[in-house]
Amino acid sequence: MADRSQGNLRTGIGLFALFALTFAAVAVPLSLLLRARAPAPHMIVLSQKLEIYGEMPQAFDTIFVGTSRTYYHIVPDAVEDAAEATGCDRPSVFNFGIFGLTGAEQSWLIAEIQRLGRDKLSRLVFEHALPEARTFARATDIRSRYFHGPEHYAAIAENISSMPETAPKRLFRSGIAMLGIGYDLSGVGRASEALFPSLAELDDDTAPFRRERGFAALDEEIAPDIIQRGKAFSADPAAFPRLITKRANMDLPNTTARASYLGEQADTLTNSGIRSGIWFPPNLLDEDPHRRLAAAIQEASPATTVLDYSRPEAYPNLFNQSLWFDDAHLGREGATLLSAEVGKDLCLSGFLDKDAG
Amino acid sequence: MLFVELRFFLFFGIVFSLAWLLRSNNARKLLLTGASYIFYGAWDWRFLGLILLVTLMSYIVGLASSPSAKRADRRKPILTAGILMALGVLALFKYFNFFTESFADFAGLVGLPSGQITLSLVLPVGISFYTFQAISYMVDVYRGQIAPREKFSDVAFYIAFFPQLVAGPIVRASHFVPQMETARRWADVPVRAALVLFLIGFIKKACVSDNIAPYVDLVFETPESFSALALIGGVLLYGVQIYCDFSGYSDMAIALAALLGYHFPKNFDAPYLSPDIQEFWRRWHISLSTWLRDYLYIPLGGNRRGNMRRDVNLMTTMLLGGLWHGASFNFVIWGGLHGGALIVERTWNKLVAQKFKPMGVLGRAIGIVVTVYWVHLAWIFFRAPNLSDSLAMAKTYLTFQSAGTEQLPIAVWPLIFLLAVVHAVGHPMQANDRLAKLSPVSFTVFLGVASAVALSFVPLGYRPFIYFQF
Repeated sequence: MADRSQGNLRTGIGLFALFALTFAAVAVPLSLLLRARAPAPHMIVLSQKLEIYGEMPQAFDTIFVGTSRTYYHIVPDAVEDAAEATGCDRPSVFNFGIFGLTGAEQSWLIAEIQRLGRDKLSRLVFEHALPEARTFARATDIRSRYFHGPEHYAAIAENISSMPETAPKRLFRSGIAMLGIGYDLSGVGRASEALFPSLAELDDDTAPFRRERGFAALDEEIAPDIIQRGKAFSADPAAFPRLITKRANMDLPNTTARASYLGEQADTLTNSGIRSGIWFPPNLLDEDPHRRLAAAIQEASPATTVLDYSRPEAYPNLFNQSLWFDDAHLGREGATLLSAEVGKDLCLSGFLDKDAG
Repeated sequence: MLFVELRFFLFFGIVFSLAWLLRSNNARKLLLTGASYIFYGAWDWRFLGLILLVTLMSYIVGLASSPSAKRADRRKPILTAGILMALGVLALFKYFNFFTESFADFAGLVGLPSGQITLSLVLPVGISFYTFQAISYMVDVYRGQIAPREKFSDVAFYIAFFPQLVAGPIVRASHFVPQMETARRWADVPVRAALVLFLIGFIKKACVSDNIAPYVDLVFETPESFSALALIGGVLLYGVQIYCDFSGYSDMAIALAALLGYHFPKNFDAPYLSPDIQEFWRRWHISLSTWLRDYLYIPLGGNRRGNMRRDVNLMTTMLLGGLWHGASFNFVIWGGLHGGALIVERTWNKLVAQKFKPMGVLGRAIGIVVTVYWVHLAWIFFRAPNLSDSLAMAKTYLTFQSAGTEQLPIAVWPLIFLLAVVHAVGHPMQANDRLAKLSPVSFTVFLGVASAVALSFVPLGYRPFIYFQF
């Protein structure tokens, strides 16, 4: 009886393995084939900004790339005004901030901007981008799925391995990334997308991004979840000083690998004739090891301009509680003030000089 | 938690493994009941209490109204009270606002004061299904078709068993309860047939219904902007969508139950191949139509008391069948169109058809076309958001006249044709039976290939099953 049960179990496991192999043998090539034939999906904010920049790369000589902390903090007019007022030629700035931008996505975006900008692009400032997704839902949304394709595997691995995080966290992110990759390779929905094109109206209006050249003020957003986030932050006034204190006392992790990762990206840009900079926006979150990282990058890549606004002691004017929308973003007033600092510092650092680099 | 969701596959994998690891029948039933409550709680845990209440009521009524009950004179009143209570729960959650609003409208029309009370109640998922199962238990016990269950947990298992809990099939107590008596044996599980049936159901729901749903939504949202041809195309697509959605769900439910060792009756049998409405109802939502026949039409007198009474019984059954789907006059009209067609058919058969020789294949083909046309006219009332839209769409459907000019994508027409061919050819071929007879290795390879291809046709984002709203 027991022998028969074990035999059944063995047969079951064998058949399941055969099923899995057959499934993979069909699903993976089919998915890759359909993926190669499909256009890039519409990715909200990212697609609109690429469209604007692709239309007129000659209009912008200085690009900021990064997460929502770039998107909601770099006011092109304010950067340009301050740079000019400091004595530099007026640059022409475009804000390429994209909310939730991971390291792998940022690597792709920088390459895409280089492709579109060709010889027009002279300066690019980028951010210490976000780690890879930590939830299955985030790893399988439309944008993330696109960035879990085979051409992004190396960038995902580099982003995970260089992130100053504990080993268990990295392992967890690797697991989620594997699930994201598996989801993409399963091919789910690919034939459906090709045969039954979506009838939903795409939010592809570029006008809001043209108005302020990619910038948006977070405290003027009307999305309910964002409004709720702002309300929650302002409802707890003690949070701000608490976060400042926590940040000042936190244990800084080893940032060597991340500094090397970001420094190499900057050097690659420099080698292709583009002046590169890395900036650290103001932040209250405790897991961002900016203070040590900024210094480490400067050491690893001396040619790179590094601007660090994450230190309250260096920029007390930016860490005024009334300027903050939530624990990671300033409102319009704060963003304008910060952008003026950025414009001034870029000018003073020689980043905007015609003959530097 | 939908049968096509990844989390359901994980849930089922765990439940399936644990159920077959347990040796005791009682332990298995308790596990499956607990899993069913978790399954339902994933929708809305607040209504678990309602299911338990309906279950408790059925349990008590079953004990007190069975032929073996001590007080025989009280059996019928207790059963009546039980049925009324079950229907009361259904009426409260599903029909209270409909009837108070309708009464207020009527009172306003005849000049009476029309104070109106409405309750803001959320419709519990699957309430129509489990209420009918509860009634089935009480009636089947009363009739002596099954003995009352001594254990409350057995009644709970019958009513809550997750494959059928939220959208049927409505499994009769007399069909299911005897299966609880002994532990199911793995050797009796038709694994390959169940997997094929699940895959077919999955393809119907996720690959067909969900892909065409946006086109249907478009036509039914702005019917006035579409040409007559496009509108008819949209209505035909809805016929495909609801069939694939509901029969797909039923297929998956039957397959899941089979994998756990339980047999559910067939719920669909290629309904669009029916040459008349009577046959259509023998092939469409069979568990509901037979339930209505056995628990409503026959107790009303069926066809035993003359033609006039038969017609009244038929129309009553179909109108209530329509109302079962939802509290709206559209559903009543939908039922009325089917009831009217059944009465006309029976009269036609009696007065005309019997006097002529059957027309053979041609006659059957004409019958199928006419039946499909009528069924889809009724679908307009089933799907349209309100009565005025339904009437406007029905007018276009019947007259082929529309002021609208918008068209559906041209690919819709070959798609409808292809699906019609699959429907017509797939049924007599009995493809699922043939596949189930493949050797284990060939079958596994087929399943791997078919699953990979099917997954590619699953649109991103989940759509709930249409029948969950009922």
